[in-house]
Amino acid sequence: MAALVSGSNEWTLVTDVTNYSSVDLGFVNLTDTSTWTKIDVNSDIKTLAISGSNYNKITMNAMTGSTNNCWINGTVCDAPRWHTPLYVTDSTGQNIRAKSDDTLAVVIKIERGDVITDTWASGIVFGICVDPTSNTLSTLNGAGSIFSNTATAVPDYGVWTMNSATVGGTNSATGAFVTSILAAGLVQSTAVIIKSDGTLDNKTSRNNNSSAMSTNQDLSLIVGVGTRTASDAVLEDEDTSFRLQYKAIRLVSA
Amino acid sequence: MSNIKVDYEQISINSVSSADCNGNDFQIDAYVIPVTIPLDELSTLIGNFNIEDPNSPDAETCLEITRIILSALKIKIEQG
Repeated sequence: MAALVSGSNEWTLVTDVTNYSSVDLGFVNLTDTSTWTKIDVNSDIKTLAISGSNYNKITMNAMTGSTNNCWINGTVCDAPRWHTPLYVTDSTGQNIRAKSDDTLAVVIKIERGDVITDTWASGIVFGICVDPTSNTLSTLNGAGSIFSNTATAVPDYGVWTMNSATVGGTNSATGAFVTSILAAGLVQSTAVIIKSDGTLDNKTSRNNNSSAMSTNQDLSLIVGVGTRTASDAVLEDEDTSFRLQYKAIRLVSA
Repeated sequence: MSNIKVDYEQISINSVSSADCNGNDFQIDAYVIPVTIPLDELSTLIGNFNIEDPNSPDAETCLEITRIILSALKIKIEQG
């Protein structure tokens, strides 16, 4: 039965608040400034636009090779990111802020676009986190999906865990489904990497090396744009594009 | 005879970005090979190992562990 529910300052028509056996993933549109907040302390982002079918296309300003520009190395990262509060629906269909105490299943589809003029050795992360404003990766405490590529190669796709990652894929890889489970304050993720026709390309997973989140912490979604390794730099006007889809479901158990 | 094993079915080719046991960051395209070390062998294995001694562990232990890892790697590469 359909229901009109309120939450997060908006009304939503929910067709079935209890049956999640078949649900659509939602697209991430980083140009939607009413949803996504950009943090770019070093002015690394030159332009952002939506391109093609829900691809976020980003053109960069120059960025030096530094651990601080890489999401999966070291302890500090002040690379640009977008974030938004993570909401889920409760058993009555109300939107509620996801918390670190919750048990959540977060399903992500991550794909790099092919309309790229001149990319760099990039590392793009998308997942959930505790403090998207922090430049200390353990405080930010993010986990989820990643793709990374050299300046000339097809990306590898996989799992992002706080300040590390494991990715895989052949030259036919075009994206990945990454499922993250949050329970007891820890996010564990696994990835199935796919080809353009949706068939299997590869798979990977990685144990999360972060500590369990403190209780009652608000959770956010985060998209981080950085370099593949700490030594990779970005030249002005190098670009990338990516399409991100996700669904977060709050699980209730005995 | 050691019961150290490679979890052969879990060998994968991945690009790993992480840190080593000295806290040094690394990023490398690699075969990832899980090695299982029985708990009941720890006292012998670690007890006989001196991290400060460049000649430790002994040749027999080196050979045994190296052969376990390289055998798994060689077979994995040959099987594709």
